[in-house]
Amino acid sequence: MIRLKRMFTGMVIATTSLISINAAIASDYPPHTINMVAPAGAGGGWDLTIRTVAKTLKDTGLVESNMPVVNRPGGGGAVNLSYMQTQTGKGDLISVYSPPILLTNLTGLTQYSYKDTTPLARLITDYAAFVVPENSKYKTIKDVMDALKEDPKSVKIGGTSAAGSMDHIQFLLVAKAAGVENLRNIDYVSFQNGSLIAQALGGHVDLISTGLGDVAGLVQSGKLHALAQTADKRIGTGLIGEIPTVKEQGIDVIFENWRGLFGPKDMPEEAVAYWHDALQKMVATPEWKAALKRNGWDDAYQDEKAFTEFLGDTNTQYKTLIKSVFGR
Amino acid sequence: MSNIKSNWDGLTGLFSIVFGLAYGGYAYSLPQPMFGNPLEAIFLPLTVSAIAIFIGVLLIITGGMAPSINAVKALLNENPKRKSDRRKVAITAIICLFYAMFFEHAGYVVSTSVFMFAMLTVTCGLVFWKKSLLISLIFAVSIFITFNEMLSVNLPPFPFFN
Amino acid sequence: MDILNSLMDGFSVALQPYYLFLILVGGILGTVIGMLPGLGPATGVAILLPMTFSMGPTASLITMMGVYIGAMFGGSRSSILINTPGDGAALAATFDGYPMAMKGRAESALAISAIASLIGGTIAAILMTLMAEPVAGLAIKFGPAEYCLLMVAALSMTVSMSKGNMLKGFLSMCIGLAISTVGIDGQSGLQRFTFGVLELQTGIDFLVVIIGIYALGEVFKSFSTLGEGGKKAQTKFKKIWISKDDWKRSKWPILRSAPVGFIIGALPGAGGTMASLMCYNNEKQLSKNKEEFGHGAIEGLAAPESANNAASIGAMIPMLSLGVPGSGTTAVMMGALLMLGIQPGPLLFAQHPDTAWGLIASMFVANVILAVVNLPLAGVLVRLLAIPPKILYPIVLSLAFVGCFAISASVVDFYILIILGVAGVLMARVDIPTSPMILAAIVGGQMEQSFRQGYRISNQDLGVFMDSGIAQGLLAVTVLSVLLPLIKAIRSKTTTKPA
Repeated sequence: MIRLKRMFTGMVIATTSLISINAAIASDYPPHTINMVAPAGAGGGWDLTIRTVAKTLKDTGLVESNMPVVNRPGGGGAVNLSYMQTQTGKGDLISVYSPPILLTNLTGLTQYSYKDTTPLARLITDYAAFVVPENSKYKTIKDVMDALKEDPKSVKIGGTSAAGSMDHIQFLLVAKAAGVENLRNIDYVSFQNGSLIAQALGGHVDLISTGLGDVAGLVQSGKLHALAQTADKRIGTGLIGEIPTVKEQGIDVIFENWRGLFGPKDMPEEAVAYWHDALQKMVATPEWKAALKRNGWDDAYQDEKAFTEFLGDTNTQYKTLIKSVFGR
Repeated sequence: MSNIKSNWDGLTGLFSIVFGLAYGGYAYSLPQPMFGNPLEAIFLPLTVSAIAIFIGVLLIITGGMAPSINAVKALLNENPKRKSDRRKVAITAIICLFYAMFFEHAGYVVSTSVFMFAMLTVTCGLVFWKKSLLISLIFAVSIFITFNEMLSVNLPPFPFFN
Repeated sequence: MDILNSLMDGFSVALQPYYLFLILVGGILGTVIGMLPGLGPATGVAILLPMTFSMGPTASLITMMGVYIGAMFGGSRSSILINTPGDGAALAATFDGYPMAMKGRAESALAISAIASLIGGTIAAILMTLMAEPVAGLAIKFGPAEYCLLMVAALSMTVSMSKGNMLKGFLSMCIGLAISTVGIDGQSGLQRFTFGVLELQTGIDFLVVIIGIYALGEVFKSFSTLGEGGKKAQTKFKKIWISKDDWKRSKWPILRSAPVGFIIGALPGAGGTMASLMCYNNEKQLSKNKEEFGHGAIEGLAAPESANNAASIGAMIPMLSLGVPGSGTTAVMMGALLMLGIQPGPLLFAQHPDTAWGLIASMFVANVILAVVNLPLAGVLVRLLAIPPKILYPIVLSLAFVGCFAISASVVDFYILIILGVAGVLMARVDIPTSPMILAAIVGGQMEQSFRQGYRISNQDLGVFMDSGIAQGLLAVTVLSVLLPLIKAIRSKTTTKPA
């Protein structure tokens, strides 16, 4: 009984002291704890990015606060996006996002858009790659587009995400720029069980639309043939460096699968300034550069002003595409 | 009346039909998808609903309603022991619902301690409340530490903390 | 000979004391993580990943292998003891493992599970050494049509053998299929049955269905026995071992299930859950004492345990020889390899032979070490049953919730869990079998998606589902699995009636 009482008093003290710590640090930034959120489960690209950022910031001593990584998956990031709306005006939550934050809003899966957040910085980018089996009859991306112009059902496009999400949209973006009409009639097949690349190896789909990073190894080994990638320049070395850009082949478009950091809407100014500073310093550290190299990421740093502008432009670009595909 | 055996086939059939109608109806009323043949997306749901309705009809025909009515009557006249068991199930479900509602707001340790204590009271009664309280607290705290610290699965922390 | 030499080189790496130690530590951690409901090998490997980075590629990979195989060993522990599978692959272990524990045979159950895992894992590792290339070649022959037929075969096997009323079995299957259609539909981008709830867009995880029906349902059901008598806490414990008779019954099921599990595991996206379920069904069909299945038949535990470990090794094939992650866990492992600067795939064995063969050798070693560690560990775990049910059941309930949270990090799934738990009780009350529903919820989503993938790729031609040899084979299996029980039933009627 005495033990219980003691435990109870202990708990009361503990909780009250927690409250007081919380009150004490509310006045100046950074707070004691900053939650780093991956809007997806452990193991994916978002998760890896936010974990790498948190680790680099901690290792280099740029941010002293505790930065636990929280996974809040669901709805392609939309669950976390609506959670962020309940944190408006706070500064202790940083989340990573990529193009789906624009796409889920434009295709109507969520009512919230990037405008309901505070963009902090763009950090890295990957590019789309269009890959065919080794012995495919398509030798260039132009061949594919010509076939699609002839008959939109003639080439079956495979991707990992659901129809209307990134893998699908990135292909349509290129097809539109190449002048293919009837974009809606192109057959896109979604393989969400992780078998996409095996399907390409087995020749079950004609072309897969995926990330350059995801197929780099297989392209290098010669088992898959990459027709094009969507950067504005050639990337990497060896066989990867030989993948032409879509631009080189006369299709004037680039697609970047960027990843950037976002805070809740109306984040306090001192918090925004703090992160501007911390992230700008972080991208220059050797630790961050080593992480980029290790993960095969392309540096794409933009500060919050440039990033917000970039988001606006990209959003308009996607909007026109989706309008012409969805007809709304 | 009592020589008719009691079983649940008729009521199950009725449920099956209602389920089939509701599920199929909802599937039918889904908006048109943007890509592909519009029927593709609701083909499976409509098939499932048709099968469910078909099974329902068969169950009602083979089982008939009378045994089910008997079964319901038998359920109402059950001995008090069984009734209290069912009440316990209902109470547990309600406690679980409260747990779900407070889980994120009260944080893992607080909500789980309360939940465990309530559950132990249901199973063991209030006589051992000190023991129950101790078990609840130890369990909640140790699971919280295991998951949060060692497994980096983030359970909702204490309230007021953030 | 070449292979043997390389493998021996691999063993000379894996048997170094340092690596043996890493396998041991990784294995124990993996076992513990695998036991917790909702946490499977994928989470285990992901959690331990950062810790292994500083150790260098070979050490890091070998540790992960230990964690992986440890989690496969551990997953079925909670299935057997508290009817709550640690992950999908351990689902089949609840069918007969838990009834065995209820009958006071938990020791034998835990022992056979470790033994079957050891044998299944070792056979698969041998197959892996000898036939990685051809199996990988077979795996990529599986297009959408073949996947679809594989799922249909699995579903038809389980529904046709569900006990009790066949009609009610079909109703149960319909509910399971309905559950599998919740979420954004991959092929059309349409939100189906999400009722505007964001969390439902990604669908209902089948593990939530399993935990709801098994763990919550079990606790709810137990209330009727809790009051007086019923199941008492076990007080006396025997040695963790099996009798000669047990071994005689389990020997062939273990040996048969390993190759089947290995091949299904090698198919990207099929995995251990499917493998163990299919092998369970096979054994039930083949067994002479069919009625005992579901009531604590030891072969009903041995077969899926063997298949499940064999599948986990098979799942390494797409990664190692194709560079394609075949399962959630291997996806995480592949990410780790890339971070360590190693490119898995066809070039792996040429570029990093010591790592590749060290990894394969460590599969053999990890299986043996874990079997040895698991027997005494089981002796400790079995004492869980000494906790009086009055206290154990609330704990199981709490573990179910925390496991559910670990899967989806969302409270929405708690409500689903509760609804399913109550549904499980009601279904048991009105004699609707629950297993067809769970199986449909597991395979339904993939079955539908593969069907529509195949249908779309072939330009709406249903012929693809009969074109390839694999497809025809799977069709034959499906037809047989429906017809055989029917024929048997008719035969037994005609032979017994005249007499």
